Amino acid sequence: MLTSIIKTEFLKSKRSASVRLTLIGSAFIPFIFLMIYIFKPEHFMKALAVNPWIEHYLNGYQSGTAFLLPMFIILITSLVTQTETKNNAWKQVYASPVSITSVVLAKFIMVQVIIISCFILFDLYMGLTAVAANIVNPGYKFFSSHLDMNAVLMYTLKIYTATLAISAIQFWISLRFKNYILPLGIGMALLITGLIVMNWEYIYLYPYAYPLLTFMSSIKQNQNWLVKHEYISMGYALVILLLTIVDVNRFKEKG
Amino acid sequence: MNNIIITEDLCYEFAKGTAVLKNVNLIVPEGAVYGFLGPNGAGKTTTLRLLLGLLRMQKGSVKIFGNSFAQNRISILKQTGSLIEQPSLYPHLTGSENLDVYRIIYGCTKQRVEEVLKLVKLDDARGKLVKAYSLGMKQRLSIALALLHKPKLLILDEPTNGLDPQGIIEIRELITSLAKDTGVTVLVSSHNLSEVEKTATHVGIINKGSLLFQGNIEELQKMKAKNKKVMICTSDNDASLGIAKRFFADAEIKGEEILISADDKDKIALLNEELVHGGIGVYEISTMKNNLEDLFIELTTKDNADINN
Repeated sequence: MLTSIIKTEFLKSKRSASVRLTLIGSAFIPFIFLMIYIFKPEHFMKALAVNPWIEHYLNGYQSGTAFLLPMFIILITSLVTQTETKNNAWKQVYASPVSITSVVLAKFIMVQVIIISCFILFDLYMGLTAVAANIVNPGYKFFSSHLDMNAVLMYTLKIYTATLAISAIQFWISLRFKNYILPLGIGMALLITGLIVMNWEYIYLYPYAYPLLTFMSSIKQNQNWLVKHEYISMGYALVILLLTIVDVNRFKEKG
Repeated sequence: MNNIIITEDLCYEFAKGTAVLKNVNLIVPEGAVYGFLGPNGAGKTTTLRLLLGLLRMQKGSVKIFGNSFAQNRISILKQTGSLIEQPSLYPHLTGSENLDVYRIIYGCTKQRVEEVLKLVKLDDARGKLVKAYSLGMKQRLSIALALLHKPKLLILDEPTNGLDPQGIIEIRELITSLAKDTGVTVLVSSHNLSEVEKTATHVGIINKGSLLFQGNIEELQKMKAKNKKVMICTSDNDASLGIAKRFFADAEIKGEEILISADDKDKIALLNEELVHGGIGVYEISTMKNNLEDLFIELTTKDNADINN
């Protein structure tokens, strides 16, 4: 039953704002880098002289992890979960012969598929940005350097893991409230709070700081496997997803 | 005849102390087109939402196809098609893509999608995005969606809401022919008495959360006939009232007219004769159309006086 509902989620994503946002959103930072690499080559040729690929990808992650990536997660989670809310379509979903648990699970999986697609696209666009910059300005050393794919994939996995808690919390909030703005508002407030209290000793317990934390404390310090807050992120996601399933099953009004 | 839906003492309140449903005992027989009649806010949608599990049950029980809904939700919903209030559609998908979403859930064939599109006359608009559909088209697509898996029970909440007269007739004909050709049991809510009379075999009337009447259409007609009023307009109503009271004890003046119970046509003819002989000018004798409001007044003031108290 779950696979059927996941199929319907894919069908519903056709022509949806969430797909457009993923395609465009993941290209935003790579595009900015393409522009500055082309128009400010003297600075970046120096900055990317040693280990250019890794430095290039780190530039990209550094720009995204603090605000844009968590913001994307907040937006996309709302967009996907509120497809039904917006169109008054939950009642038809809940009046169809599927278990409520699989409906919730399928939606959560769809959110994750979109977030993972965004990461893959981002990595891809970043790669293309480097190639394009090197073609325009042969002074860059991308072509003559080795691209350590494993390192890039590991960074990606770590940052993705760090976003799991945020997406689970936002998922719950978006299903809980019929209002579209509220989950965005709550998400933004929690995200900005995270940036303010970044130096707090217990920051590893605060989900909205995790992506930046991964970048600052983990990637920068060459920790190559998952670290404490990334495991906690997975734990949060699992617990909150279970709570969401219980909560939706107990909704007084469905749709 | 088996009963497809049985509710026992269904009660519901959205806030404490404000009952929306009071001990509703609905009985929908197999093969019936059950018209669920009531004004806006009477509790129709709440009842239908409880039947589909869209509201958490508070008190009472629901049995569909002989089984308790609470324990057999999925197997009951497999055989039930529904349309609750406004259409539940995805505007960024085309008509046939919207049906595809539920085709996957119900496990129907693509052929069946074509069939229902033809049935609701949307086969030409199948490739159009639903956001470009008119309200009538959306309503028809929602009915197609409810019919997709050939349900044994169809629950339609005001399916003609927002439709133009032509659309209303089409939906009415569709319901009638579906019931006749496929034997599907239909529970259709409406606030329009004449519409229900044209399609229903059985009727339930709900007001302020209480089921005031339940029976087949003949019983409804009998009750209506009993409550039918005739209006007489004359040149001298006071004098006429005296004469009218000799034939009809309940004759009364209301505004510019005299109202009498029209249980005997011959007596009306005799009264007319008397009035004319008495030198009174009779301008008009006509049957008052029995609308839903009158029916409610009759039902609430006579048989169910206690409900209003």
